[in-house]
Amino acid sequence: MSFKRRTTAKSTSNPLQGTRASPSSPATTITSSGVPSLDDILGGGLPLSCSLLVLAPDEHSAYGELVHKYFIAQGIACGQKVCVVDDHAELFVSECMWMPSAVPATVAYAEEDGDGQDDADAKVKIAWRYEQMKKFQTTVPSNHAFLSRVTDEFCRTFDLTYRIPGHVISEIIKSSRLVLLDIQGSDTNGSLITQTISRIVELLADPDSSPVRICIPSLGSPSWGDLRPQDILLFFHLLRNLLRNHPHACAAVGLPPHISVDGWGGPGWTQKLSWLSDASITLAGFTADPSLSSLFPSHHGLVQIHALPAPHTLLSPSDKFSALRGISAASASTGGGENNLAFKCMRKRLVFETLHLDVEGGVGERRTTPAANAIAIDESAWPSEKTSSPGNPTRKQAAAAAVVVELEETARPPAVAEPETATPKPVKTRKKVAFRSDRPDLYDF
Amino acid sequence: MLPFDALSKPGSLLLVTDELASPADFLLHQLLAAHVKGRSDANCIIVSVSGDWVRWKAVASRSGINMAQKLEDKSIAFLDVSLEPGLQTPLASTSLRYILQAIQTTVEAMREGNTLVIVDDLATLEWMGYSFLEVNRLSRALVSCCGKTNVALVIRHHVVVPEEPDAILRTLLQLCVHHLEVRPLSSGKSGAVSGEVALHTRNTLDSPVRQIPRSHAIQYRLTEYHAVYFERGTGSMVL
Repeated sequence: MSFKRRTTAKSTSNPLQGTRASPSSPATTITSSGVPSLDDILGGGLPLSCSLLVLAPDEHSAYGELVHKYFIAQGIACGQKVCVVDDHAELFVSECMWMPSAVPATVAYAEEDGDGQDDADAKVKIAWRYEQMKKFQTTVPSNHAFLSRVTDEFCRTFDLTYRIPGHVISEIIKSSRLVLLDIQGSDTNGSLITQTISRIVELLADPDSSPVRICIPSLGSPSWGDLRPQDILLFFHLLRNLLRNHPHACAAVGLPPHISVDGWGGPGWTQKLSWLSDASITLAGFTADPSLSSLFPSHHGLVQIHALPAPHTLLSPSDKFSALRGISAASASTGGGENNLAFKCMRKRLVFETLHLDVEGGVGERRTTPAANAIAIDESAWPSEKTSSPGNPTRKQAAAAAVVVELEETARPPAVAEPETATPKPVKTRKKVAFRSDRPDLYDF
Repeated sequence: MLPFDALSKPGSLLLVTDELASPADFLLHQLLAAHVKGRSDANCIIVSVSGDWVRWKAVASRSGINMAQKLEDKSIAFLDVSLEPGLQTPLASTSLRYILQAIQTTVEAMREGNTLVIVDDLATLEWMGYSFLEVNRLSRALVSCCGKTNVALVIRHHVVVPEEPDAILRTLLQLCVHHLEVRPLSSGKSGAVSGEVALHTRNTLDSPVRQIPRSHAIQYRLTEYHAVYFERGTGSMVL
């Protein structure tokens, strides 16, 4: 009797560039949007044959465009074919972010995330029962458990301080890996819509089955003419059919701010758009509302999820695997509600994360009067703090909570300064103890 | 918990409404499975506006239905009306008669037996620019045609503003015998409960189908290929 080695088709077939199989269904091939945290929200990435609609109703910011630039940069970086439909497509592509050449990006991000506070935090004495808890996290790291198989090729690490080099753009245009489609034709009776779709169909008719990214950053902008709501909905319908017939392509579409507002196309406008696209999110920036900026100083806008892709299943993979949304069965609080999400744009990257209040004023904060030994430590540390200059405070001997108060004391005007020989008055500072969840999954509030 | 067999009766319309946060795809798939599985004389025509054949095939395969084989032996037909040439340039004056004619032709071409017609979306036709009058005519003609040929009809309609039913929904509510209403939880998304289903019926006297009001709606939790139903307050997190 002889044995034959079983080889599955999966192991023999070569994966497409920058793609991988979805954890939910092996039939689904996903590709990265360029933002790891957005990939997590989408359930690992954007599936091929699906479309992503990014609505950004805030007129004073361009976070929607930023997501599209990530989408393009990721496609270019991992060698996929990219098609940009815009009147200023080349300018749009030239503004895309790029990868730092030599510096390991994870190290760079770690520095940015820490903001130099890690050293100070490390010196804070933590109660023994909380000492073993893991660090509070609000977003998914690039080496998240779910994304552990994600190689650098699947989701490149981009840096907003870098621009895509000009020679890269010219090279990929020459090799037809970047196709720039300007908006041509007449806009009568929505024929511009059907003409654009026809040009994309011609592009996808290429027998090469490598993944194609279609990016339309501003559908309905003035260069598209005077589009009616039904024209835009027709475009989404035709685009969905087109993607279903060309399962190696995916698309990201954005609308101008005034069209992204719910109600532009009548009641339920956002819902209609979301029904006709596979994934639909709104990035509601805070720039138009100063009260929201002051309420959430560490975020730049709210994320609303309308629809999520599920090309081969009833349940979206995001519901099962997204750590940020926190409604998966594997999370600690199964059956809990969905997390509120927000985004922030830092110097080097865009991050989607759970919306949380700051420690100051947060509902999970407990303020207690300091214990007797804590006062003793403060008092012993007082003279050295007193003699230090305001610009160079020494924090070696004092607890972090005491230091904050003492810095304010040293910043007093000289007129109220007391003689050095006077006994320092014990400062009745309040100890701040921030409580965190004791469950392993910190995304479930 | 839902009487799928009794809901899709020959010659009558079952209306399925859903919202964006709680799509009713699972109900359409279960209606198909309940109609086709275990019956040798069952036929089904899927009229798809979204044209998502791959998804129908993938989900049905997990319910033990081989769609490719059923297509071959003509017990299942898939009508992708989105690919019709008339849909490429929709105008307010364009007729939707071709959809009705396609369904009639397919019904006639199918083998003898109990036939179920599933229309997966009617709202999109109006959103894209077809006139309300045309969509209304199509829905009335479909009900009339299925009544004459003794074919069970299921129409899914998306509700975008729950408080204000649109004109097509008002027409469909008049035409239907049973109405399955899928709604999301008012408290938002949850991992344990995906939504709830209420059943409204016009036959209240001798109908075997019992009404399920919104106050006692059956809740469900979606899995990747199925839905698990349970009474309100008996979810895994409650018990």
